[in-house]
Amino acid sequence: MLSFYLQMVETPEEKSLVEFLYTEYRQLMFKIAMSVLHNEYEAEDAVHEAFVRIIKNISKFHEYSCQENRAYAVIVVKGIALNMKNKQKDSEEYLDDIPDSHCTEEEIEVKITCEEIMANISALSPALKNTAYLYFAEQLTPAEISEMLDIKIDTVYQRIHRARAILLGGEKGNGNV
Amino acid sequence: MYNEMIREALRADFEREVGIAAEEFSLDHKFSRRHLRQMKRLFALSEENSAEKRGRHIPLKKAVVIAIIAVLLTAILTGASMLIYKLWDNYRIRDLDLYSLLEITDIENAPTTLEQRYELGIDLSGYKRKVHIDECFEFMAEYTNEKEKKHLVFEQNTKDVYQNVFLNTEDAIVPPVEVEINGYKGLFFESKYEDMVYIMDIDNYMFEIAGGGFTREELAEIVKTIRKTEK
Repeated sequence: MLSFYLQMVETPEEKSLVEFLYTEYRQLMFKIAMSVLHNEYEAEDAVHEAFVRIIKNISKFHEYSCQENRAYAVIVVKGIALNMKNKQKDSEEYLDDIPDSHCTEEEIEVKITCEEIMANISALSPALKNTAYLYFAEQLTPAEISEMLDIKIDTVYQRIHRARAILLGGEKGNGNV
Repeated sequence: MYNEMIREALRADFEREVGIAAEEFSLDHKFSRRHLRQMKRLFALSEENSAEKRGRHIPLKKAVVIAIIAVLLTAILTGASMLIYKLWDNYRIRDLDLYSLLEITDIENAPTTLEQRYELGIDLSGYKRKVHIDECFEFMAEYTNEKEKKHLVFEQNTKDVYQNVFLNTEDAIVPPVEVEINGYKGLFFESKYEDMVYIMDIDNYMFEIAGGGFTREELAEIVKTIRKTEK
């Protein structure tokens, strides 16, 4: 599988970009992974796995600014670290059977402030927050998020829907998704 | 309208989390050799076709059987105790869950700095050289030949730096076997990523020579050329 990913870096420019991303963000990515895993060995593994993922999606990194590259690198490694942590706890990596929420944006009460949204962020699980960040803040498409985080696209849709509902105050988070 | 607010809120929260992590682990991490090797592999071979660089290898199951038979025969012939992972003298390999641990115990009289530097004696024209580590106790250089799709990693370490090192032997194509080159003892293994690795004890320093795009025999010939640099 590794050799398959390696073949996806086709040009010297992409190779340079990957090396640049590593040099520029490895320390930050390691610290993010450490904040989740609290184990240097595993955090290094998370960084390595993140770069396998980055290489797989390197064509997307081409198009984005440095700030966005930084955000993606952080989100990817955080997602991987969370998965590693969840596997250690023998818990499900992703809960695909998220109950459908009947709330849509239009149904949620209109009056909400930015401060209230900020407060509601704490109710998002790390996995929801990762997906929400890529969708709302970085405006990736669900298909791009699915590839970046290596999750099913249905899961992406469900998480976006759920995250929006929690942030706009229409639903309480349970920390599990 | 709400998406705009959500965007701003998530961005602020993201920066806050990154700031917390940076503060919690304020010192930069010194990445392990194992990690650096993994990343070097990822970058150096990112343009290679893995099918082209696949050399001859012994299937793992057969290699394990051969290794076990060799150890059993050695134990029976020499009367040695059945320490399956024992290598030469004070060197031992212990298999852990995903990796092996190489233990070295005779480090007392070994130099604690690289008092004498060594180099590879082969013709490296055509290779691009990149020094990754150059400390008084550890040196690592990578040589890449993009035209021939070959790469080499040459490391020289003091024994106390190398005394407990993880070897990337998970699902190894060839598990660690003891070797002798130019009268020096060492070990060889081929990782699941098709990296051939020789680890040699030469003049009380530990050398690691890893290669991609070489056969085992070619890499052994390269190991034979290790020589002292002129001061």
